[in-house]
Amino acid sequence: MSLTLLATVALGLLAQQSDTVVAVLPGTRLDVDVMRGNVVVRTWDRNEVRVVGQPSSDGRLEVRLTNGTLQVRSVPERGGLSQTDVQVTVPRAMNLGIQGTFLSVDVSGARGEVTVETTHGNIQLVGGRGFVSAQSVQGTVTCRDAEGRLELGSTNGHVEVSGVSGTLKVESVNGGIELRDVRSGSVEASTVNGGIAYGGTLERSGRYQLSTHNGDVAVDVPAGTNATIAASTFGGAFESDFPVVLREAGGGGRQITITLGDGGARLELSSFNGSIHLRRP
Amino acid sequence: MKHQWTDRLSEYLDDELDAADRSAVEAHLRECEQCRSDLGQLEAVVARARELTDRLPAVDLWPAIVRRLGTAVEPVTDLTQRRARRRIAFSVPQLAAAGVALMLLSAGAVWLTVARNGPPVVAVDSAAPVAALTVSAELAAYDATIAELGAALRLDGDRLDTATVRVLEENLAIIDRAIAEARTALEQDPASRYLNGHLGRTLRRKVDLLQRAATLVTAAS
Repeated sequence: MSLTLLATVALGLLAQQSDTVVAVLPGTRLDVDVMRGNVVVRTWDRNEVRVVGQPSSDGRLEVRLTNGTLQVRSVPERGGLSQTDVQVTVPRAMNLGIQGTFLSVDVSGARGEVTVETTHGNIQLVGGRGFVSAQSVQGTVTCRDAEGRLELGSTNGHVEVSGVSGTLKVESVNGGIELRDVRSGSVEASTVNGGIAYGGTLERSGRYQLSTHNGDVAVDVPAGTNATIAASTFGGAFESDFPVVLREAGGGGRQITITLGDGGARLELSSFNGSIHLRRP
Repeated sequence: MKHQWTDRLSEYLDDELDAADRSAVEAHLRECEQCRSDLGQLEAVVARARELTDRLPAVDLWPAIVRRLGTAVEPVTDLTQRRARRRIAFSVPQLAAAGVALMLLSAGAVWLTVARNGPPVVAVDSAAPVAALTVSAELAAYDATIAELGAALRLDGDRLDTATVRVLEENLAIIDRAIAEARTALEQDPASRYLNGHLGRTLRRKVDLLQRAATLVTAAS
């Protein structure tokens, strides 16, 4: 371990606007830790990482390559809060980890794993493969064109997802969830105060769970879909753009099941106070 | 940092993964001590859930939780280690919240056990009241623990910026209103599988948010 630490290469302690290019081996991971500011990540076809940083006068930006991880970190000085804006250009397949407190993040073109955590700030992801996670406490989370196992959430904000494929888990507390052009056999979306809209594949062996307390749940159901739909509400209603045969499941509230075609996909839709709406796209 | 397979250990345990995912999980388990430990705890919880009656879970899981969450903090060398530290550096009240999560997980396991015995959708079976009773019994402990964690968060609140505190409080209030509504509905219809499940999910959301708050406090320390 000591040798490894001794081998740590300090590539730069950057006090002002900086522009650093670091050669990296395939498999190197990027970790960005910026307390306050904006991080923009773009990709290219080079085995290099370019870091353009602009810390405020009360902070500096540190770039280190350690044990296969390139670390980019804002370091506040003199007790400052150190606003730092960073633009990083990385190899497309590089795995990314980005975190901060007052931090907005914009990642585009990634083809590796992406993990983003922020307390206050929006997250915008375009791309990402494998495990893709974006979590904000206060901010909107948007994700497009990602593939793999996706976990997206905002405590106090909306989550918007489009053009993704893989397994999808989306959560909010005080925000709506919009899922469009999803290709997935496993979707789990839940919020407490907000609506949920789903448009995408309803695969024969797929499972789709959409749940909210306050808000409507709307699902696009193309003609010819084979699905078993379990819809539950306490204070809302059930609506459909097309004729369906409702079967009361009983047991309190309004619980119904619908079988379309020969069944197949399992949809579990629930809203305590809102309505369940099946839409014909 | 959460591993890719962390959230799928339950599916692995329940033999719900396809062959490829199962192989991937097993390969990961061979390399990841943390996930092996998590799996062990899950197995213990599921085993206990199968035996649950209308009473609180035994406390004999606490030592393992305390050991795991109370691990000494090591110097930060990279983000992965730092995130791992955030997960394990809880204070005593935060451990209580973890205990609540475990209790709710136990309730959830019972619920799932009940659900698997019935049709795959929302039809009600005669076992639903058992789940209702279990959830009700755990609400008392839940309330007490939440109050304790809330007090701790108030004491440590100066570690968080006011904007974060405000957001957390607002969202906790939203969840509390939802819990209250679900409880009221459940009083009218205690056998409702949907209402039981909905209340359980909403309680879990509150625990998740409190644990997130605890993590933020720890990270800000």
